[in-house]
Amino acid sequence: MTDFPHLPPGHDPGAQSLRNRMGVPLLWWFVGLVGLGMFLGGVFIVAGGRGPGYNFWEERLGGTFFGGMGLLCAWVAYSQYRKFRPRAHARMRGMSLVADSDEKQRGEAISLTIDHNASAEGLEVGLVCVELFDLRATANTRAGIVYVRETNQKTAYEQWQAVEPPAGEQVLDFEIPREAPCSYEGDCLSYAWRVSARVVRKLRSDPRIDHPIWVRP
Amino acid sequence: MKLEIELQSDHVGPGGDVAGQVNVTEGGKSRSLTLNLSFYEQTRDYLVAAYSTGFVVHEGEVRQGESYEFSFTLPSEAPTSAKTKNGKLYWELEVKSDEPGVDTHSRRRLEVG
Repeated sequence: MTDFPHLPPGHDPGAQSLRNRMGVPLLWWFVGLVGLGMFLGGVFIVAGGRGPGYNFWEERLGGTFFGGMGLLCAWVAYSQYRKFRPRAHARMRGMSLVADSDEKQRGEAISLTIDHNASAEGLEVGLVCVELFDLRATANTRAGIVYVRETNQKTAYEQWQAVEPPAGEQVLDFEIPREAPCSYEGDCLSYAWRVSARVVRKLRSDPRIDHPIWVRP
Repeated sequence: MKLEIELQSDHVGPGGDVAGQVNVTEGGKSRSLTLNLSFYEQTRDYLVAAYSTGFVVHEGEVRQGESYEFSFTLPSEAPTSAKTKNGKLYWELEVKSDEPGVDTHSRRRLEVG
């Protein structure tokens, strides 16, 4: 996965995207490695690796606790990794979504081809424009009020079509509205277009696969 | 002093020509009149001038009833104007009179798209 999953190849990120570049901070790599080390150390102690000179039950108890804490650290680090690099949902595996072109003009039609081998129940294909906008958030600290710049995102435009039940390849056509915003990479405001396939689920997040496109004026 | 920007068309595409004139509705002492073209990104809390350029349309005193024509071409890669619920992108023309004391400004939006 790229650092800028909302951008198709050949388009440079703007200042806002660079500020919010996706990646796993060094801290979580460190926490993960330390956690793994602690877990292996715990297993070593529980297995009696330090020799017969130590109390058997203290070694078991201490090693289990130490290894358990290590496992917890490693799990937290892994969940942070998955937060930045989400794994495709089981129902989306083996599914592909392709657009006839990664670049389109407003007012043009775009054909999306979805190839799915699983059940199409709740499966939809769509054309989406997301606005990424910076707001100033406030936080009260001991030193006083601190202002933090944060990037929020909302859907500016979306159009979805249900996929018909038979598995296999299907082509769905969409039209990019003339009055919709064009793709734009800015400093405090950006517009990102994508085509998506999602499985609509009640009371749960919808798993989806995305394919970024660029919309020209 | 009072200035007003008049455009031949409020709507232009990227790479298109923008033509118009600065009308003086109330004259006064001025060293120069500068026309600035700026592109802004705006959200609820931020306003960023992402692009700006300017040129002088007149030098010296301005008199009521005078008008100064201008024309220029927008960059072909100029981003288009947009307005959504949480932000907007817009182009703006501003004429500024450099004068003793407080400068006079007049602004006008330009729809690009």
